Order: sequence, then C-alpha cells, then structure tokens
Amino acid sequence: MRGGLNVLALAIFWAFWRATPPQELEVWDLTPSRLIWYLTITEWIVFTTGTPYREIEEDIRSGALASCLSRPVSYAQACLAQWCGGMAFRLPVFAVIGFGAALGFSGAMPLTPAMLPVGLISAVLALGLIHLCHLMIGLATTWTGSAAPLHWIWQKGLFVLGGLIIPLSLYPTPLRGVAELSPFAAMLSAPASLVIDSSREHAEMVLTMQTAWLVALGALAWLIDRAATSRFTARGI
Amino acid sequence: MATYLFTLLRMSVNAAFIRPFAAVTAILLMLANNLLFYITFVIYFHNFSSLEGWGSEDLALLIGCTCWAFGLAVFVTGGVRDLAQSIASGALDSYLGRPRHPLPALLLGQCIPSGLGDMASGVVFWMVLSHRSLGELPLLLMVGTFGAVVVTATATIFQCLAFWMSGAAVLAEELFEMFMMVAYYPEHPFGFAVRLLLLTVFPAGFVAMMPAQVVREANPLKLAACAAAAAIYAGLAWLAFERGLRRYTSGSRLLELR
Amino acid sequence: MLTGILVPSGGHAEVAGLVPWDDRRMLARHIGIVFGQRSQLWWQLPVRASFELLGRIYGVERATYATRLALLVEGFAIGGFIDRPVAQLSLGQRLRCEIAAALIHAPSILLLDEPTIGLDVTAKALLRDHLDAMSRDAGTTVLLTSHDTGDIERICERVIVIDHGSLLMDLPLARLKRDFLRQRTVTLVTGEEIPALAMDGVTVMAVEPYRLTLAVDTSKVAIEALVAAALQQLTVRDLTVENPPLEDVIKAIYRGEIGDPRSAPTRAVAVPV
Repeated sequence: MRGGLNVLALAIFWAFWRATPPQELEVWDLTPSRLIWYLTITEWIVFTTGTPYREIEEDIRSGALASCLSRPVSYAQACLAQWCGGMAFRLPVFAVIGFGAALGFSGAMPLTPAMLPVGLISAVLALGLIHLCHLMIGLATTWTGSAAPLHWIWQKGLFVLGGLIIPLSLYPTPLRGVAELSPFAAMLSAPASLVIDSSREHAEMVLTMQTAWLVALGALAWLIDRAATSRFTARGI
Repeated sequence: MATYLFTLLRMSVNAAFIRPFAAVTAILLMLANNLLFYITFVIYFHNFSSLEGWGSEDLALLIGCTCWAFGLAVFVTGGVRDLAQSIASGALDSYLGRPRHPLPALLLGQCIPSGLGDMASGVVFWMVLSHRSLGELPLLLMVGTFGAVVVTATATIFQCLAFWMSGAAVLAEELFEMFMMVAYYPEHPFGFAVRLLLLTVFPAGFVAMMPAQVVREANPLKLAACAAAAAIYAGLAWLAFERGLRRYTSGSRLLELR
Repeated sequence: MLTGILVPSGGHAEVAGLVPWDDRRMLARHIGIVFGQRSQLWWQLPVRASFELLGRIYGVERATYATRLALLVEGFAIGGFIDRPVAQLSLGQRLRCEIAAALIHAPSILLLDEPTIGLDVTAKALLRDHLDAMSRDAGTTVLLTSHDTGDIERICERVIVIDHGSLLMDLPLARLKRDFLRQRTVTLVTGEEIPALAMDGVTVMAVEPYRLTLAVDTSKVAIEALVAAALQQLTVRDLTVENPPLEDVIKAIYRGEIGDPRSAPTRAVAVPV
C-alpha cells in the first residue's frame, strides 16, 4: 500500500507539471519529465525511510529499553544496524515501484548510465543522514515524553528545506540560501538534483556535501546518545 | 440522545485536554505544520503564473477546506482511527453490552487535539491567504462541515474492512492517507474519469474540490450536492458498520482467529 | 451469547425473560457486564466522569443516579479514589470501580468475566466480599466465569461445570462439597518421633519426625473412629482436620472421576471454565 501512495503522489504531480506553462519551465531549463524524476528520487528516499523514530519512542515509553541497555552493543548502534536491514529490503522495492511509475508517465530517466552508481551512493548517504535524524528524534523522547510533535516539524523542514517537490534552484534567494546551508538539502534535494544536473562537478559537490553532513550529524547523534543514556541510567525509565 | 452524544463529546474533549500543555503544543505545531506545507505552493507560484487558471488564492481556499474538514473530523470523531483495532481485538464487546448503538461511542470516544490546529489552519488559509470575506465564512464553515462528514464516513468504511479481513488496520490507515493526499491537491489538472472517481467511489472530491467550487461560484446546486454527499456517505458508513457487526456477532471473527 | 453479543448457530436461551440475540439492547438495560481484561472506564479521566457517562448511557435520572452512586461508593469502598484518573488506580481498585460502574443502572443480573484475574490474594478477598455482600443485599443475580475456585467458594451458591461446550455438572455448591468431598486430611502432631497408624480407609500421606499426615476416606471410616484410634495408639499433642480444596473436586470432575447428578438452582451461579 505504501507503494500505492508513492504512485499516487507521482501521478498527482505529473498532472501538475504538465499543467504548468511549458515556456515558464523552460526558463529554468526544466521539463515535466525531469521534474517528475526529481520527485521520484526524493519520494524514493522518503518512502524507504518510513518512521523508525517510533521504535525508539516506544522502547523508551514502554520501558523495553531496560533490556536493550543490558546488551553488550550500544542501543543506538543496534537501532541503526537494524534499520539498515530494513532499508536493504525497502530500497530496491520502492525503486522498482517509483521508477516504474515514472517511466510509465514520462519516459526514460534523465541520468546517464555512468552516473547511476553515483546516484545510488548519494541515495544511500541521504538515507544515512535521515536515519541519524530519526535516531536523535527518537532519543529526544527521553526528555520530551513524545517524539511525534518534534517529528512533524522536522519532517516539514525536510520537505520544504529539503526540496521534496520543487528543486531548490527554484526557491527565492533568501530561502534557497537557508535551505542549502541546512542538512535537509543533503537528504533530498542533493541526490535528486543529479537528474537535473548530472555533470561530474555537480556529482562531486553533492557527495562531498553529504559526507560532511554525515560526519557532523554522526557526531551530534553520538553526543545525544550519550546524554540520553546518562539520563536514563541515572534516573531510570 | 442529544444529551448522550453531547456527554460523550464532552468526556472525550476533557480526556484529550487532561494534559493541557501537550494538547496546546499539538495544536500549535499542527498549525505550523500546515502553513509550512503551503510554502511549497508559495514557491510554485513565485516561479509560475498559474496552474491551469488557478492562482495561490484558489489553492489556499482548497487547502483551507481540506484542513477544516480533516481537523473537524479528527477532533470530533477521532475514535474512527482505532475502529479497526477495536474490531480486531474484540473491544466491541464492551460497547455491545450497552443499550446504545456502538458506533457513536466508538467514533466520539476519542478527541484528537491537533484537529483544532487543522481547523485553525483552515480559517487562516481562507481569511488570510485566500482573502475570503467575513460574509463568506458561514458558507465556508457549512461546506467544510459537510466535508468533515465525508472524511469521517470514508474513514469508517475503510476501518470496517476489519470485520472481513485481518491486518485491516494498516490497510485502512494507508487508504485514508491516499484519500487525504488526493483531497489536498486540486483535481482540475486531472481528466474527467479521475474527477468522476473522486466524486463517487473515492469521494475525496467532496472534501475540498466541490466545497471550494461552491464558495468560488456561489452555486446552490453544488452546495446541495455537498450536503447530499455527506448524507449518502454517512449512510454508507452506517451500512458498512451494520453489515460488519452482523458478521462480528455471528462469531465468524472468533473462528478466523482460531 | 447470554449478553446477546454473539448470535449462536442453534439452541435457545432466555435472560431476564428476553432472548439475548434478538433483544440485545433491551436486555442491556437489565444486565451489567464486567470484562476482567477490558475496561469500560475512561482511562485518562477520573472514575466519577465514567460513572456519569454510564448514567447517561443507561438513562438513569439524576436524582436516582446520585443516590445509587453514593450507595455504590460506600458498598465497594471506592470513595478514596473516585476522583482519581483510572490510569492511576491499581488493578484491584479498577476492578471494584468496573463492577460499581456495571451496577449504576441497577441491573437484575450481573455478568462477570474473569473479574479476579491478575489480582493479589488480598485484593481478591476484598472483591469477593463486596460481590457477596452486594448479591445478598440487593438480590442481584451474579453469573461469574472464573478459573479460580476461590471466587466460586466465596461468592456462589450454584456451580455449573462446562468442558468444551458440554455440561458436566450443575449443582448447588453445598451439595457438591458434601457429596464429592469425601476425603479429609488429618494431621497429627505426636509425642512419638516416628508415629504410625494403620486403618482401613486411611492412607498415610507423609511421616515426619513427630508429625503424621493421613488421607481419610470418610465413606469407609468416620473421622470420630480415626480420632479415637489415634488417641488410643499415639500420644496426640495436636490434631487438624481439613477439607480438600474445591479445586481438587473440579479437577476430578474434568478428569471424569466424578459423575453429574443435577439439582434445582438457588440464588447465585458460577461457571468455572
């Protein structure tokens, strides 16, 4: 059913981009085909992720975290490893569904074969960044009691500043600057922008940016994990 | 009956606001959530002149109708989202042991505070972003309420699948997500067949598309169509529940679980 | 089926003069139901709020509701926490509130499905006392399903034993005990370090230093005869005569070791399952 939702979203926006005045799209060197492939990539990443923060939230609220902490593996590392397993399954499944729909609507993906591995690496890096955020949101339950409101705001930040539907190149200048400086751009817009600009230089910039954010968010997640662990080992669940 | 329904509603609102800080936070965050969602369309219209004749104000009107309808539905009948789970777990037994029809208690039994945030967003979209006049507000509230009835009725029908199949709770949630996704976006770029579908089998068109047309065109026939749709889908939801209940009381669910 | 929630594939039943599955909503006004494992109270709200809603559901008039609530609060000793959210109550407190809630509309029949499940010994005893008192004082018929024979012994007067849908036994509790509890356990504390006693109908269960435990089949030997023999043959310092628990009788019924004579029902009913 998640696949159905994916296809539905693509169908809605395919109709949107086709209803947009074509001469106005040309100003940005864009076509409905490129834009629908852009959305296909961003949606592929979003649907592959799901809502893993809820597992951590539930573990903390139910007290099941106590049994997890008694294991010889860090809880955060165990969560990330588990999520990798789920991702390994969902990534190809949603690729087939989303890419299949986009092919049906608009024709071939505007990405050269040589860039396909780069696109895959970029998508995996993006997923790594998003899962680190989910880890931090889930662990925030230690302080907030419920992670859902934090997730709503983070998700909207991801969709807007990450350029879920519209590439960041179309954003008004001040907002574009904020979006490009935020980690959200590395999560959605950066990998999807490869279908708009598949030059080697752009690909190198995307991968470098994503790697830098992976290190930064990884460090932040480590700090939050330590703080959360200290809090619940000292105070209990 | 009215006293009973009012008491049910009052109790569920009290329960929802038992932690007022959490409830108010949820309301404000939902308001922020919806306004952030609209930014995507602000960016669209910053670059492109129109969407097949529609501008940003038209879209704000549509999104406002969806927000109000969804918000009212989840605030008043938030219990609908747990209906499938109640059916699957046998929790209907408690309701069936009472001298009242179980459906009102199931639907009105939970109030979701963030629904008020959606309703507030609806008013903001209408009055601020779509620049509707104060005189249009009663009509907006009326068509929005018809839309809310369609939302609740459709969600009820999806949730009633649990009478006939296991795992229906997840399916119902995803069908409802698809329903609301379609309701949030304008349908006029779509062809006739799709629009017909959205006004019949998958009635997302009555949540926002048709109500927005009523307000833009001041069309009494379309207003009557919205009212009729609300009544018809409410009736269909009632029927789906009654038919499912017959299966539940026949013990078929117990045999399935074994 | 007796509440009308399930429609049977065959057979006939009447509860309070009504066929349950035909007149479910009418019947609901005459019965109260308590599901031990499911709550009908609003979790986040004070108990009092749930009672008020149930009063509205059953159409209890305000004045009657106030009087009845006062009686139930006193009868079930829930006054100390009636204004506390249900989520903050212990299981025993919640169950007392659940039963009180089921009696808001003064039903003539109260159906309890495993009401003491999960309760500790003290809480069970308290709940049983309340149910027994309510049943006697208000004349409410209590239909109880339970795996705990303690519930039956304390509350009920009639026992129906059902196994896989078949009726095995339907008897007054007193007669069940009298007719089938032939065995007694006699414990003797003696002056002899290794006491011994042999009689027909008497089986030695345990021999410990200065203590002898005997199983006595009272159909073969009277307790008085055993006591007389013990006093004659041993230096008896202390003597205890115990009935075996009802649980053993029920087990024996399920094993088919005891038959199924039936007699006329009396006031309360239990259905061990």
